[in-house]
Amino acid sequence: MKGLRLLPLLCLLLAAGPADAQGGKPVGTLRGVFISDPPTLDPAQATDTTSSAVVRQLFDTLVELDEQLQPGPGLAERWTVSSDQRVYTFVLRAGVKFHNGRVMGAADVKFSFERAARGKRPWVFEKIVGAPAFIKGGAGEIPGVRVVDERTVELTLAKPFAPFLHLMAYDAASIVPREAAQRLGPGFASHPVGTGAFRLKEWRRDDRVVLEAFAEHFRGAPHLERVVFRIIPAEITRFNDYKAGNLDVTDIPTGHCRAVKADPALRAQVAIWPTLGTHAVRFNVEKPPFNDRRMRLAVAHAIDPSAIVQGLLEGCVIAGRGILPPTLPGYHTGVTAPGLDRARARQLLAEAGFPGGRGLSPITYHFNTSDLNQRIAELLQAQLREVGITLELRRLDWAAHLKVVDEGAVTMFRQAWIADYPDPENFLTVLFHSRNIGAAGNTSRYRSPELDRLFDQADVMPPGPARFKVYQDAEQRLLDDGAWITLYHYASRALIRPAVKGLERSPLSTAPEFLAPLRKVRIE
Amino acid sequence: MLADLLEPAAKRVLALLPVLLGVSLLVFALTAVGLGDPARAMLGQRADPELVQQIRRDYALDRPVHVRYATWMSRLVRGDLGTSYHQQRPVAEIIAERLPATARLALAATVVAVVGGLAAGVAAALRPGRLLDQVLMSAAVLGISTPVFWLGMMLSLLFAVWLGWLPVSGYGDGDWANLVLPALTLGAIHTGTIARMARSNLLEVIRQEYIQTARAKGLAEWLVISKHALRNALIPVVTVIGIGIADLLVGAPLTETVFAWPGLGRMLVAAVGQRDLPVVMGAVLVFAVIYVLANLLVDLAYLLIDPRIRRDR
Amino acid sequence: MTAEALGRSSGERRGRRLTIGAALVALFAASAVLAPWVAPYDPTAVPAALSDTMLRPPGPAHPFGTDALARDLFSRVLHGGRVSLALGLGVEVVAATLGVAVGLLAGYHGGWRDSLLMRATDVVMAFPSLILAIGLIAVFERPGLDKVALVLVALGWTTIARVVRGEILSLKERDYVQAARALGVGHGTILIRHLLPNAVGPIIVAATIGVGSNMIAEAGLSFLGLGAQAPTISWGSMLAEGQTFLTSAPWVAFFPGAALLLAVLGMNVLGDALRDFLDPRWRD
Repeated sequence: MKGLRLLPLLCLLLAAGPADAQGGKPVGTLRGVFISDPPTLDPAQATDTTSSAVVRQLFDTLVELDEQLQPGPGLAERWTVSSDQRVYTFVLRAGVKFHNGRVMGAADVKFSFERAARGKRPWVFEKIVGAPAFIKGGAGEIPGVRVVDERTVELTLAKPFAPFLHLMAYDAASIVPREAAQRLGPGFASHPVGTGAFRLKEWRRDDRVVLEAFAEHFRGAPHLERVVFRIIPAEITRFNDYKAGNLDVTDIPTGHCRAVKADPALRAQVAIWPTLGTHAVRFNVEKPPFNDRRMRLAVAHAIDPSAIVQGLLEGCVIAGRGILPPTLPGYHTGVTAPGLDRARARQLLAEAGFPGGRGLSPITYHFNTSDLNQRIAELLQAQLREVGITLELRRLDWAAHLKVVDEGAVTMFRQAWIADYPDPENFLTVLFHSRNIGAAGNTSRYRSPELDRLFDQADVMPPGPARFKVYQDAEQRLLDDGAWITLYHYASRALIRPAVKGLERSPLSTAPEFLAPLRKVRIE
Repeated sequence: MLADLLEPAAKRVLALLPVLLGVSLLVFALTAVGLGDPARAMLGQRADPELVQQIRRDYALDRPVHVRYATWMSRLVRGDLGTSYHQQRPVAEIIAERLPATARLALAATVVAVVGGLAAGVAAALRPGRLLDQVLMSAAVLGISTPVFWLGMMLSLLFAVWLGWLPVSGYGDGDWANLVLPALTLGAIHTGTIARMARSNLLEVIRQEYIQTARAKGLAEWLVISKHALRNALIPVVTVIGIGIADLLVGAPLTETVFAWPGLGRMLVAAVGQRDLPVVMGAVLVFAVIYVLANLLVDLAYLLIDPRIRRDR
Repeated sequence: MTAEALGRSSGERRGRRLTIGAALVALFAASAVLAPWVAPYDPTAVPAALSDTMLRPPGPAHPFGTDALARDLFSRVLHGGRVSLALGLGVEVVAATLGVAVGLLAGYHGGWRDSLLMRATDVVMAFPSLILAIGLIAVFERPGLDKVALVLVALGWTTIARVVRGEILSLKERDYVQAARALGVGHGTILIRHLLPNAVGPIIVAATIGVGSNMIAEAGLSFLGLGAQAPTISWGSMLAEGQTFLTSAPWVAFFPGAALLLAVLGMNVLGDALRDFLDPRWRD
């Protein structure tokens, strides 16, 4: 480690020009960390944040989102959208090279999309004409993806979809080279070849992932020469490694936020920013007692989220009332939700037929295993006890929790939702449209024809405030109906060494898995 | 003498098969009928129900349990451990990658436990009731009852963060410095157990008449202890070591998690969480084999130590 | 050291060990039984002003401090003791009984019985407890201490079985046993009157170690979320909660850990002392 720290010094002495602008000689190593081993580095197969964090560095997409979540040119240098909002024509940059030296072309785009559509995240491509049939295995290609010429691709959607550019910026839409993917087959997952600013140098499973600079990246060589992600599952160990100087970035362990912010040695390195996630309590509205709106609202009025935000999470998360998190385009500052009002809660409880909680059998609250979830659950248990509702806690591991929730075998449960792309559709439609009941996202089993209509209407509207208004209307109705109780919105709590410059505080990145482009990072 | 050992050794190796069968059956049954769907677990927070069904078909998860077990068995006898659902690589490859790390850790921890435990036990037994004895036995109980996680954290804080003598976590490049803290942590539990067993049995043996006689004959104390007492005291200790190996393998996950050690224990826990059945089965099988082989060695040690046992076999 | 010297000092030591062990165990037993009356606060009540009183270090109002939900740690340790001790003891009693039975049968008869029982022991010992725990939860669809108890019994009998078998194997070749057989004394009598009492020493030591390891195993399973479900409190689940705050609020894990330690220590010391009284070889 010591040797590597001298390297930047040496390079500064020996290097000719400034290493400032990307395009100079790559220098320095960023030592990051992951919580678990990425299962795959194939963009078509990845479904988790860790895999995405590496995929983002190894591959590029047609469109890229900047720090304000606005789409900008990526592999596509420009694009046009037809007046009916259905046809997107992308013009690719010239001379973009894959890691294996070959130049990327439009044929690679078609190949990559068709390959990924048959992967683990088909929903990214479903809006394209002919995609559903292709995904089911009926067709041999997606007719909606058309190669116009070597540098032009035309994508036709079945219906307009305002967030489509965001989907094109999603890592599932990364471009891969056909010959490498076909030659390696499933081996592509451990020997990825992309156009990204970094390529995979070494992958010691469950130990570390090492990336090295790809000098011929279309934006020029990155500043960093290497990126090392160590894999450390225990949060205190990550913290200790950071304090001992072995890591450049890490997350702040639960329960240490206040202490770290007060620690003179560390306080300057703390970086907390809001991210696009929400932690909530949801109900299965098909089963008693929560098929009764009054019961849902009674619980909503009995919960005090500030105890969780200020107390348990030491004020290091974002308090919120709405379903949509504050940094999401389309967020409505005026959104209201049932607040703490125990008198009202007791009244509603009585109206529902359970005065003082009498006659109400214990309600099972399901959540997935984690220290924090456990404490939040116990807090909820105590808060609901005040109005006479008894909560029975049921803690299951992630896979088991998913199963019972998807099947609707639950009454009241924990729901965390993190945006795949920054659009209200990714929250509201996915979470509450009746066609998504079950594993597709609507685990409340909520069925409302009016809301379905609103969602379908907003789906095809052009981007703009009018479209957002429709979603905000839907959000308010859902909250008034007690369908969702937001406990708080997510924030990324990171420790970043002062020498690390250029690491974006993007709402899409939650420490320690930063989805931000590391090609912009340099070590001073 | 070697010929004496051959037959029981062979018996033990044959006994491996029913054990493996039993373990594999139980584990498969529990994980397969268990709560949680591997296909669903492979996808993210948002899963297309049709895709889930398709994955279930691809991985034959929609077949009845006994059919799946039979398929797994038939592949196993051909030496094929199957493919991981989660990583889509051969299970054998995954296990082979992790085995060295676990083996190093388990071996190092066993050495720590045996050397530390025997030394403490003998030292305590030589002066029973005195201060040294009390201190060592209290330390032994401390070692047994301190949760692994806690001990690991404390050692890490002291030696890695504050003093900076050793790395905080990780395998490093295989240098022994990375091995020290995890081995101490994992070995601590059994140091205590071995120390107590060694001490109690050593004391027992010391009281026996023939030892008194040997002493009366004027033989040096240490000679008496080492030749006669130690030999017989070793039997239960060897038992404990054998049990200890199984416990080490099981206790490894927590230590491996604390020290980010890329071993099998941690992988098994993760695989269970992901319902990655082929990996779970493969890892459990490996553990079972190691366990039985370790006990084979233990039993052979019995035979070597106590000639009287041999007659019965 | 003459035999006399050994005997006298060990008599004193024995007495002292017995006192210390008994005292510790009695203390814990009493606090466990009397917890509901002795505990100053409701162990599960979460005060409204959470952020003011959470994670307070030990002080006059809270002798052990407060945890992440501002609950009084002292009261929680007292209540947790009831569960942990009951679990540790209960599981060990059942597991030891099973283990002794298996060990006796295997060690004494030898032959096919021994092989069969030892194979079964092997299967159980080679079985990762983690999987059994998760599996049980899966089958019954809910985690909880009862599943933990089941797992620990199912896996815990093997140690004692092995120890007993080992002892019996070496003991049964002794002269006095041979003599008894020659005189026509029945198997049962030999087992119970001649062999078992001599094996009692290691059994007691193993069992007392077992109680402690059960309590610790419960803590381990609690880390994985498989143990006591709130509002049930056990030292294990408290340790699991406390590990997050090990460096920022160490008392949250320290006090249940210390309680666990002392309880285990007490058991072991008492066990040693009992062994001295019960084991004929130790009597002068």
